[in-house]
Amino acid sequence: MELRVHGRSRKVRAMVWSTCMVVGLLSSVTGEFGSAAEAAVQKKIVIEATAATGWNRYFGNPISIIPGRVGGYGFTTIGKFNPGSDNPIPLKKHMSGKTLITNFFDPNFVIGFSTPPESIDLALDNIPLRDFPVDNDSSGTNRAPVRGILEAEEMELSQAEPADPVTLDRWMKARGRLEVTCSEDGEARARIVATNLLPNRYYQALEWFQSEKDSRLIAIPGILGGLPDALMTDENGSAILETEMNHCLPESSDDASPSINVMLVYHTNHRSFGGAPATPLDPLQPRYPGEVASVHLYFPVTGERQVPPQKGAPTCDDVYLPDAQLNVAPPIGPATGPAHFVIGGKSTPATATVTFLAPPQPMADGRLSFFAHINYDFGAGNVLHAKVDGTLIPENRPGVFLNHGNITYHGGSGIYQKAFGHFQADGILSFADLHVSMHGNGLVCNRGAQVATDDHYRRVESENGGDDGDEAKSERSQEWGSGL
Amino acid sequence: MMKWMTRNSGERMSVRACLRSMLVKVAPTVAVLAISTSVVAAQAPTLIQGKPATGFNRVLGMPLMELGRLGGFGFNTIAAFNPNGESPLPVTVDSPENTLLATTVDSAFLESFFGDEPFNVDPASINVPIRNVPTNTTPANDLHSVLKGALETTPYQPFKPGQAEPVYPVTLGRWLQARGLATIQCDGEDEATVDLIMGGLIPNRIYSVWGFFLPTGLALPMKDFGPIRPLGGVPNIFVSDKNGSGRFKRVLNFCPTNIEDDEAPLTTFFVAYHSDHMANGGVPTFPERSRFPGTSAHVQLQFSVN
Repeated sequence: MELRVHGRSRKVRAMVWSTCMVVGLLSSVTGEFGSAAEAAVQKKIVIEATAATGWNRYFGNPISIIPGRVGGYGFTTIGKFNPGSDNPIPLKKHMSGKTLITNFFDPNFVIGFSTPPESIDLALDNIPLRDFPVDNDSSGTNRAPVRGILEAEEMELSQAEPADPVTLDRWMKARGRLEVTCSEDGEARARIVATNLLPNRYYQALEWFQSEKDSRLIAIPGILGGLPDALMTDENGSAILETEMNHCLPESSDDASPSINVMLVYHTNHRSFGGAPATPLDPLQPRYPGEVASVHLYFPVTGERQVPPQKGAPTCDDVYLPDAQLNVAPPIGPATGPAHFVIGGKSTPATATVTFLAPPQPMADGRLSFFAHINYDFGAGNVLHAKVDGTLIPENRPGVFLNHGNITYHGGSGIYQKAFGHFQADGILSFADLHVSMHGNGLVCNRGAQVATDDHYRRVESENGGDDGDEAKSERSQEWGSGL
Repeated sequence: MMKWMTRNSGERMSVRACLRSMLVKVAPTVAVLAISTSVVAAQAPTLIQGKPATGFNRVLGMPLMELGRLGGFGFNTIAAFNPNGESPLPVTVDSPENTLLATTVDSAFLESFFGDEPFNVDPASINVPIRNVPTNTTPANDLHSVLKGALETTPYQPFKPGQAEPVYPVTLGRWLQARGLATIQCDGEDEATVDLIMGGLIPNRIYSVWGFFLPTGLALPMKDFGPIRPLGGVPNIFVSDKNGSGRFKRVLNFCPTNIEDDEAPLTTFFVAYHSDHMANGGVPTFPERSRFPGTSAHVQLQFSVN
């Protein structure tokens, strides 16, 4: 394994290697992201997250001992609700899983970020996370708590469901996996796969750097990739962020400032502040870490890890299409009649049972039908949802066809799954881009295009004697699977 | 009443007619249609096709729909970049596809939402190409940073991040590629699920989804965004993926296609692109902080309901 530590001091170099040992930097020559970074992959870094209670905090203790000034520094961003008080109670590991979680402003923040204590204008502390007020007028200064939409009146400002109280157990169930694939040109591509976050909620992905040169701040907040560094969880609490980065981990262009961590921050007020997680220095809207932003998943990059990741970090690998299948380029140029797709992959253990539903829906221009024909040859399997959408270019008229289908099966795990179907077109079309996203066991993994060409389909169809029965369809699927 | 209708330019097609059409066109689909038909009978969803927009109830300066007693009310939220002046130019049916899009504030918005109340539109926030809209990058929330592409920046730039790739200029042709299909499925009269599947959006960007209601007694000016509400509650956000696709699924506390007597009809809902990369909680923007619809949030898709 060769890590790039160009021009670093011995101290930094040693620290990098220490980090590699601790957090498990892995080297890989496989390219999984299907991007420019894939061309010359130098290494792959995998870091599993710790469900956190603050910035470098796990029940009041550091998640990592970080070299340099940071050390074991951190600050807590959630606490235990303390009825009748303005101040929440610090969380302890032995507390009941039913403990109601609140926001929590930690005075340690003041110490680390040179914020004058007299400037702190903290209005809201000890607020259960679901009860945190939401900005509700044109000024951006007025805010009020909102109920869950199923409790609210029709036009009442509300919050998305589920809006049930957030307990300690619920918070600590979060799992995450960060993969960074670095290329020789210094660029990288990061992917975060997270599960068991709060469903239908807004998160932000941040990367923090050491701050040896800036004495005011103990660490420098940055964003992961580029703005918007946003993730919206789905109804299961799952989210994926894929972003291109201008550096590998833990490197930066400044030798003194390697990356410290990556983290996912939950925004209690459902707002974002651009490139900052909070705005403590805003004279009109002072909003503080711990007040409006709570660290939920923490990925240590440098330092000696004190708290191991919780078991069960998610991965997309089990539901991703095999890379070999992704090497097939979409057909270029116009085609008539049906176009076809094949999706496949291994699914993770089943957790739900959903009936397959892929209604033949009209396309954007009303000339296409979708999922008009679908079959699947997977045996007893697991949950695997498929969504297909893409860009349709019917003779210089840009368009999009859209649809969504769910394919569900039951049974064991790790079985290679395949599905195939075709789109029916009344007009001339070509697919400039088709992408397939597959949902497995709560994961949402987007993968690139693959479309069997029309000629290929016709050939198979001809070999099978035209429109065929299930047996022939199965053969077709097998051929696509092997051919792709 | 037959439900699960698709709405396209005001036309309605029943599920039965839709399926009949499909059956004629698509011979080898019997098995799936059987599955789908059974599902349709049980769930009776309504399909609504989204239309690309250049403002609220506006596409290329024209109304997208009649908003009941508000008629063709609407306002533009994007315009054509004007390199030779301070004010942007309107986008019209004559605007070429390569028109570079820029920020604007439509006087129709100001009149309808502010009336005689004072407001302050920062001239510097107008006629800014969509990719160059400044955002906040500091704890002071200064809203002044114009971002390069993430791969154009160098690592470790305190409070100087880049914006997510790709960062190609946003043109009118690119903007109007947006498409969407909404599925509304009511569960009785008091609950529904709305599911939006969208494509052709700006890749890797924040969008928000808003409902426009038409309550009895709605009067001008519609202070604090009047009858505009986050659809499905906050956070009413989704993030488009690298292909420009997006998904937004929420539970509603009413059935938009079967309004009760004491409820306000949801006339339309729309999808707004946030050029400043910021989501604003319960409101689309903060006009009193000189963040207007058109300077930081721009309607790109609209769905007609009632």
